[in-house]
Amino acid sequence: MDRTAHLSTDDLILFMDREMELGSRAAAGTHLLNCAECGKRLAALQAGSAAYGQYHEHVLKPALGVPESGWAEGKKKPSRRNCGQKPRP
Amino acid sequence: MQELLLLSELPVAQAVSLDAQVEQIYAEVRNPVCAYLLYLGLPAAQAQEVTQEAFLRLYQTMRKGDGIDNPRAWLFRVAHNLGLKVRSRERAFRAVAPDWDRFVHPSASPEGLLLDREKTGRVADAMESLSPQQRNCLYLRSEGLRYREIAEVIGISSSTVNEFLRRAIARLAEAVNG
Repeated sequence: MDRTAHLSTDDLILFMDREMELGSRAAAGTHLLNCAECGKRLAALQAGSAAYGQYHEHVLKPALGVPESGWAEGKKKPSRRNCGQKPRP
Repeated sequence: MQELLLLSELPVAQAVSLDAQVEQIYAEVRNPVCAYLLYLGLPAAQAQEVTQEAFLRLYQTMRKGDGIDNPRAWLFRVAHNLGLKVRSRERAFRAVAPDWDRFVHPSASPEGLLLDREKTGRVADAMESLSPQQRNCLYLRSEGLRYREIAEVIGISSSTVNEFLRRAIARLAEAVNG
């Protein structure tokens, strides 16, 4: 990674998601400490990511309406199947 | 049948501990996996069945002694594949893509009301402009999966996940920051 050039959007997102290799992450971190422009772009991406995170947790998932069920309850099904009974249609 | 015989041969302590392990994973991961299947467009009853099936496969795999490094990612992957199979079998399915309009203005969730409606609308608009796979990547990322794991769940390469997420997050950032 060129330490003088600005970080690409790709790099900023990989940095934000901790998906960079350790060496590249350290270099990107050093660059971000010294580059206000990249810091600003990273903050904008973090804002976009955080807005989706809130949406995901508080809007999308509640709207899906997950039905409740216990593990023990569901576990009975395959034993019937394994015993040779036909699964229910 | 063979599975049952193997189970009966297991020492009791091992079987109990396996049960406890799976029960704990179930408590933590069942709802996120089921929600993901609903998100993919499966009706509630089928999402529930596929989730149970995925957990049963996890149970059977662990019982065989096959190590699973990350049960959460493993379950998402198995549920995704089973879900797609069920979906392709069923003709009476609703559309593959969720109806985004129903997510825009939350009424059921009090937390949802706290989220600025205008921002929610902008996020929803941005989401609508993304491809289904980009949205899936975002969804799984928010469920805590790493890029490599998302790639395994969806069946694409890590670099494609990277590309999808880059476009999606840049689009969201643009929408949120105006």
